[in-house]
Amino acid sequence: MSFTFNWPEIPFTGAEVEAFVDAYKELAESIIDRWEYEVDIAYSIDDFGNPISCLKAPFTNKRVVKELLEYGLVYASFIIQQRSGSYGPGTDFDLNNSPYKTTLSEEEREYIIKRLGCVFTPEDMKDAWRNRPDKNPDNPERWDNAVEDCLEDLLSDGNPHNGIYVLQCDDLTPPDPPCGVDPLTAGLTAAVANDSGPPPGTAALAGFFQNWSDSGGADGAFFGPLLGWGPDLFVPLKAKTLFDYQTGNGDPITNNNIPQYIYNALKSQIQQTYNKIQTSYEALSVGETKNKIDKNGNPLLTERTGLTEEQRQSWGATSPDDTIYIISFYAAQYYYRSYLNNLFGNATIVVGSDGKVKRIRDDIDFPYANEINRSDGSVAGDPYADSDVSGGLMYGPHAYDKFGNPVPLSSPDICTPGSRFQGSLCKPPSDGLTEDQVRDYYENGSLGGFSSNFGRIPAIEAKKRGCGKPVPINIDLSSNQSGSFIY
Amino acid sequence: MSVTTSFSLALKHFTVNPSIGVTNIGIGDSLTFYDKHQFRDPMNITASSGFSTTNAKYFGALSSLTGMDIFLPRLEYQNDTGRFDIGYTNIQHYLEDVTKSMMLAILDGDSKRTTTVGIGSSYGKRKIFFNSLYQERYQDKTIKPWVNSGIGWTATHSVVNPVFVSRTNNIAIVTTSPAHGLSTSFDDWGIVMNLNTGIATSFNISTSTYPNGVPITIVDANTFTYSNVGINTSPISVTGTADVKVGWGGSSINLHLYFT
Repeated sequence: MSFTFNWPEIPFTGAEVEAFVDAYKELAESIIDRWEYEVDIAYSIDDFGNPISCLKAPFTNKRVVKELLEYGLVYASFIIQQRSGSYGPGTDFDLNNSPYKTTLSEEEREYIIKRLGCVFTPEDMKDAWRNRPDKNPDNPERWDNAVEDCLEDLLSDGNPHNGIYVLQCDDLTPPDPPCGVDPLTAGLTAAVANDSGPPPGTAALAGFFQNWSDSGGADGAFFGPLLGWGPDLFVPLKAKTLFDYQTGNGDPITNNNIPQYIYNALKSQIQQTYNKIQTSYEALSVGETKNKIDKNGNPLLTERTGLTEEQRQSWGATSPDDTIYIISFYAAQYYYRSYLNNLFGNATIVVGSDGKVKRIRDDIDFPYANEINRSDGSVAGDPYADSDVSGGLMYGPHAYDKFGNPVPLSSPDICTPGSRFQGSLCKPPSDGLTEDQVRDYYENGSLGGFSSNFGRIPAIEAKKRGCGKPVPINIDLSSNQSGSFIY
Repeated sequence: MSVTTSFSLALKHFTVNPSIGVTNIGIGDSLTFYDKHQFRDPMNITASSGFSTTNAKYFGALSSLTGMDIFLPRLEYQNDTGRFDIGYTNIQHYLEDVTKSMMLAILDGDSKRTTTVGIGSSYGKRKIFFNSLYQERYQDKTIKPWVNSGIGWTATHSVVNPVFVSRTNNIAIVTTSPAHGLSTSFDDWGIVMNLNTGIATSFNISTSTYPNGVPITIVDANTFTYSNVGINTSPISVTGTADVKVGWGGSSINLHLYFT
């Protein structure tokens, strides 16, 4: 097949640019003319014995390269014009000085507006609705019937005004906010794959609660690993927490919201984790403080100091002898396998002078979804106002540590872009990501890929829909008072 | 120029991307675009590498290539044309790659700052053109643009000596001694910082990420700045060097677009 170039006119003049344009066209035409002899025969063999091109993917196609060569000429010529010092059209914002200044006919303007996605005829609006990017092609049932009816009315009765149809559908009401539980939808995998509808995960969680209650909790051993939470006793509590997060309850979880056997296990394992940190020879003391770090320098226990008496009481201290720590269940998991790292991460505990852990407080929020702003003086575990919730760290300026975790720009743990740790390349700081970019980071990044980050996806997808409310946790560990899960 | 060709070209170059300047769109009695176009990375020539997994939803074959069936439900297959939409951003990246490759092949020397068409056969120029677009393992490192000296793209222009660095609002400020000697007649300077110790290393530029450095702005005879995300830092004394590089250009190659 022969190709004929349709060269654009070049709105620049001068000896340099004209010589360049001639050379450009000559080379471009020779590239296409010689394609079969110099590109098609220059290939390598892949691992399966198949021929593969040496060129990068988009440039293996002769027709694509021909088009790109055509369109590249204008800007390349512009650069030559600039270098030659012969300033031509397009060098400033004088509107009459643009090489592309042109006025379109009504027909051409309509053509462009349509292709920019702005459609005004009923047929195009209906096509746009049915082919919209958020539509799930596997679920054609997800129509908004009100919109469908409206479009049908327009097709049959609509009258154009100066060629433009006006959408007038008085009965068109916006759909309910997509936050909530829909127990009739498909299971967790299908829900995660969907790009619209109820936040993924909620349906499966609802199913899980049913299975769990029917089987006395035995299904935790199955669902726990699926969500990356480990086959542990706390899976029901973790699921309850995510359930509350997804459905937007926002009320703190306290003793009154958890069953007795989970309360007992929680109390025991928090205490044992604390004891292991205090007694393990690998947990190092930090100077004269009560702080403990592991052999890699990661904090295990960090005392909250400098608090007023009122602030100490807010955290739950009832005696001057109580100590308030931030405990890292992440780091502590290497001393005592409690699976609490998947629930709390880091949390604040109050420890009495007898070494008994009296209270634990935390906010279940996420740097990759929604977080609570506590700058009003409240502390983790307290109720909060909706206005205190905003996108997490990854949605604003942030950097990354050597493990690939997002950290604030003020963090001393920021890795050096380009450096590597355990084979992973340090990711450079970001001005902020979108939900799709955050999801892509966890699915395709260096943090273990999709399988390792499966549990994060529901929270990210919930945020994308404007859903997801952090869950405060405030549990008194000094009593035996408990309750039951409330959904 | 026909109107049709004109607006098609404008759209090929048009990007709603305020990060490089001003984009205005007015829709009233008419539709108006007002924008400026530039290379997205004026320091680099590495061609786009096929389709990333980010674009998997636009590229069906990727799932069969990688076995990532999880992406299958997200594909946007155009049933009417039998094609996959890869998005206009990718097209613009490929356009930039080909434009740079043509300039590298045609222009004399290292193709920087020159308007002179190089002497040589069409065959030799085609070799450079394709060499710019080859996968890395097939690139010929003995010819343009990958040769590591002289006319190579990443050849170092000069070396300067930073003595103080600071950072304010993610802009690094570098003071050199002696003077850096870089002419303000050019706006295509770039830098690869290589400082030695402590917090100063946070100002360094990775050549694996930025093989030809990052653009700099000349402030005066001893000072230049560049974008560098990090905490605000008061001036600190440093030791080390900085390799000066040259790219395609700064604001001087902004093509202003007006389209109505």
